[in-house]
Amino acid sequence: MREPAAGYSEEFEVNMGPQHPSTHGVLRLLLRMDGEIIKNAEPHVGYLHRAIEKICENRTYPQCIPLLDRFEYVTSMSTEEVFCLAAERIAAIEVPERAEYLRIIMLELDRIASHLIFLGTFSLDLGAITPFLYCIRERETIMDLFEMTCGQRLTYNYIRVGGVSQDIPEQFLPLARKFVDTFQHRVDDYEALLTENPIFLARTKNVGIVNKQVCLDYGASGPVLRAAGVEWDLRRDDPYSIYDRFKFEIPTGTVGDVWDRYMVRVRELRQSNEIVRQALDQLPTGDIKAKMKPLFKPPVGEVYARIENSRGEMGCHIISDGSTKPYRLKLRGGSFCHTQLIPEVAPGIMIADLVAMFASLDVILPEVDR
Amino acid sequence: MGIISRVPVIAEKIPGGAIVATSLEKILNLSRASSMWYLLFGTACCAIEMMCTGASRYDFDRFGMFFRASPRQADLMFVAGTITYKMAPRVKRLYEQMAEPRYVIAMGGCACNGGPFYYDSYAVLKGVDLIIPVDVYLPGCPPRPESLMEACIKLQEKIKREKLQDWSSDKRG
Amino acid sequence: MADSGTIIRLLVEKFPSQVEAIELNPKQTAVQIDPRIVVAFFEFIKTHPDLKMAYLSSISGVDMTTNIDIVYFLSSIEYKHKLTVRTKVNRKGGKIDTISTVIKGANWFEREIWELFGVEFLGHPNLTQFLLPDDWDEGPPMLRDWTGRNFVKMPEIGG
Repeated sequence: MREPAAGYSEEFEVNMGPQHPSTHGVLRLLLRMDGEIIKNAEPHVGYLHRAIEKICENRTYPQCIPLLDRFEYVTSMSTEEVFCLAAERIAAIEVPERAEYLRIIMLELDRIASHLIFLGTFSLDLGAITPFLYCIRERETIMDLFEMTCGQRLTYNYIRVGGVSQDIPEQFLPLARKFVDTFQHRVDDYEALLTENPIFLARTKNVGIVNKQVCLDYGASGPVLRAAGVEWDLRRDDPYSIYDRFKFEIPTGTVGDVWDRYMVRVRELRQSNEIVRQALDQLPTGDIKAKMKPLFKPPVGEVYARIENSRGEMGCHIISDGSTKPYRLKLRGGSFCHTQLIPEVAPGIMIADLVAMFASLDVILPEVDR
Repeated sequence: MGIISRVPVIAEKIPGGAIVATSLEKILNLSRASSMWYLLFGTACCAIEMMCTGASRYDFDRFGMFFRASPRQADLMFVAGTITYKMAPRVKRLYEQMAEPRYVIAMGGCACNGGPFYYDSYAVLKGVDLIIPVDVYLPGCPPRPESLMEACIKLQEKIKREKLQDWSSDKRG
Repeated sequence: MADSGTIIRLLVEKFPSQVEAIELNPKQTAVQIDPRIVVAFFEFIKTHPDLKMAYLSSISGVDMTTNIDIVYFLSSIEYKHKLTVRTKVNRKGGKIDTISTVIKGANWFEREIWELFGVEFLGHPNLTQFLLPDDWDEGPPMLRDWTGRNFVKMPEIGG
């Protein structure tokens, strides 16, 4: 807690408005300031509320998938996966082996792409422009891999109920192996630029501490929870798909400051790389989609499926009434709970620290607004 | 000597340099088109493609385009992403804060006419041209970086066709 | 870690006539509770040493045309078990106590249900405009029979 300087001072309100380079989307923060110290920060959301849940009540299950891509566009594969997982659980469909392996490869590559965007924009907020260009260079290779498989760079529409939509072409495997072999050295490059840098350490160590109790109270998940010291990863603790066949570690932090959240994500980059390598080695041949009727009509049921996204827990609550359209579809993203942390942590810190802390939470506004 | 071959000139060589004679219109249009500074404004998925176009592989800086955070210093606004009813007054205010001459590119399906959120949505503005004037429409969901660069080149061609008398007669923006 | 049968037995013993187990497809641990005991229920499952369910994943509102269902999803970090809790409120003018005093993360979930479904949460610290525009005057839009000024329904394809 910093104390304001002695003398006469007056509080004033600053609007860190919907258009701001470091709010990562359209978030409005109403800050009540005393000099440079924040007394209160109130997030106003809803600038990107597109009513996706209402739209999906009037779409068939395959028609919902492209809409859900737009819900979380940086990691579209994980939104498709959670929706298809929920629909498959209601209808008790078993996904073939090859499709499961392809899904894992795509999900982990997606996680790497999302963490690269985080690294780039996080360092851009702190004033370092070079890591952004390096990270986007790696991400372009991943975009090439996705484009040769499903035709799209950003919103894929690839994972379908019962499997995946297309098989990988022959150029995929050599390019993927080349990426996996060189990626470890690239992560070393990023760490060489940032991790021991004294300016970076001064701006991130012991800044924006979110401790374990606050995280658990607000339902924080993913890297934010792991940086606070809680070893909770849904790939291991609430298993889905075939993650039990791969060996990977779960990095955790100690204090829960900005540096811990950064380090957890950098180490996750390496772990995801390992999972992709193991999946490429174990990839079997076979079908890519389960045998299903052309019109997908699940029985009456209700389920809440959750997976480990790069931002935390992504959940999908589907209620099916036996018709081709879901009766109710509710989505939950990690960023929804993380944005609630801002009024808890902001009082007493300076505005530059708020920028660093908010960037380290890695919030994507469509997850909050839907 | 590249620039001289592309403007109407009478060039006279004198020792130590050259004189280029051209019309004021041409040189003003050329300088404005070659140095557009765009406002960092992206709401949704198209913003990621805009960021990627400005970064490593598809570099925007070679067109002279660089991002600015404040609308007072920008002359181009990419409306990248869905505009909702809550956000619409803010977009209008941002447009009014830009100094003339100012241009708008509606990037992506959502900015052109509402995109995939046209039907069944109660909160999405069906096209950004309902509130601000648009110069170039760029469909796609999201449009590829090459498409975005094509849209910028089309805008550059549009700027190079502008007439000087339009400035004073208030026909712009 | 307590299994599904033990969890339900503990809950039914504590609240005999107000909690009952329900069957859902696919199989999951789920109970239906009386809306009047909602705060006491969540206190109990948060503090009981065999349950310790303090991690709230999500709260959904569902319009079931006769009433509105509110569905809570909880899990436990220590024991890794999960629970689904359902309760019903009236469709018009429904009221229920807030659980944001017990679990702080429920704050924004309840605010969203208030705004989109019209259910009032008694005791909530901040029931103000959240996702919709500031001048919204067309009623809670997530109800199944809602229409509004600019609402265009997608036409049925193929006749």
